[in-house]
Amino acid sequence: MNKTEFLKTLEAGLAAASPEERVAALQYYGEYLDEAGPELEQEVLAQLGSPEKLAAEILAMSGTAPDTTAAAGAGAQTPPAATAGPEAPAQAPAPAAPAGHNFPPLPPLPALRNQVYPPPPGAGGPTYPPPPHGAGGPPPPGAGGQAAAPPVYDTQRNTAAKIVLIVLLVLLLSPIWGALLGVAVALLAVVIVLFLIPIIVAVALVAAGLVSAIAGIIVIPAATGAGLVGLGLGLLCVGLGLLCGWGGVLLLGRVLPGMVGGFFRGIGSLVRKIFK
Amino acid sequence: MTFTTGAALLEALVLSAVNHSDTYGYKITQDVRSVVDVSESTLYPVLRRLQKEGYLAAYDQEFAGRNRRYYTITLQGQEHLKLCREAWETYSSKIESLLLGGISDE
Repeated sequence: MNKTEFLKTLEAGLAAASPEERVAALQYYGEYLDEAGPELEQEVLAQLGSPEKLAAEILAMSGTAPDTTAAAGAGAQTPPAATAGPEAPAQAPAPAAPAGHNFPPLPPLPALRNQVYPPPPGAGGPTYPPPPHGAGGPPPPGAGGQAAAPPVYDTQRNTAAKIVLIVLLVLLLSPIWGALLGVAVALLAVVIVLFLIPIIVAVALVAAGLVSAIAGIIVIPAATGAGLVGLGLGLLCVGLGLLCGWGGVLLLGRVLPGMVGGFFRGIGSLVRKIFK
Repeated sequence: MTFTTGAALLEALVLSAVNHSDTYGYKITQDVRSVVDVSESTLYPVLRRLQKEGYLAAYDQEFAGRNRRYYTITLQGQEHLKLCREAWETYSSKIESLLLGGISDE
């Protein structure tokens, strides 16, 4: 195809356009090819594509509804202006871009729909798919017993053990653990101090009683009455102190080991429960 | 990869090219094609539309023994180009803030 043939075909394709439109287009492309020069003519003609298609684009742009013969001849009508409709026999596979910008050709509508709403892969519906066994969320440590479903016993026990291990690790590594230990130790210290109080009191009483009694004995020659009272009170104090001390030691010896033991037993049983 | 150039941007580019100096179709096409990837046949409809909207006017001038149709920008076209440039500023800065800098609009 040369320049003359190109322009002739273009003119024929623009038969439906207004004379003004036709002349303008023919002048433009005639001039365009002149500017390119004879050396570039073939290259530019190749770039411009088919004159029928070009005519269709110009018609679409100028708002002139092309008659069906023109559309069929052009082979490619833009979808929005398509008077020919989707059932047009001559619909070309690659439609011309409307008004000539280079959007990639749109896929046919059903394909586009498929792209926008892909069918949900695998999962049938909006409901949760049943969790693959064992992969469910970690149950609380005590829930290891749910592993007792007979058919899949081994795998479930395996996963239960894994879950317990994870929970244990979390517990051991969690900062709350440290805080709890601190609180427990502090409580134990307070209890010990509380139980020490009777012993301290006892020691103080015995000491005061001894001082009072000795002072009474010393004072007896000078002031017999007061000395005797002092001696009596002192001995009383010593007695009370010894009693108090005995009670305290008894308390410390009997109750405290029980409490401390209970404390550790409690931890032990907790650990055993976790490991069970 | 290439980004597509929409009709509005093409119109703005053509207006800008003509605004620079009166010029003719072949030259406009080469200028625009040096910047964006459009086919040779893309720009005639654009030029035609701009003429119909009154943004461009055409006049003929002889060159080397033949006629050359020159396009010149109208007052209306200059106003429209101004709007186009403002719109482009907004558009491109938004694109750049996301594309080149992440969302840094604190």
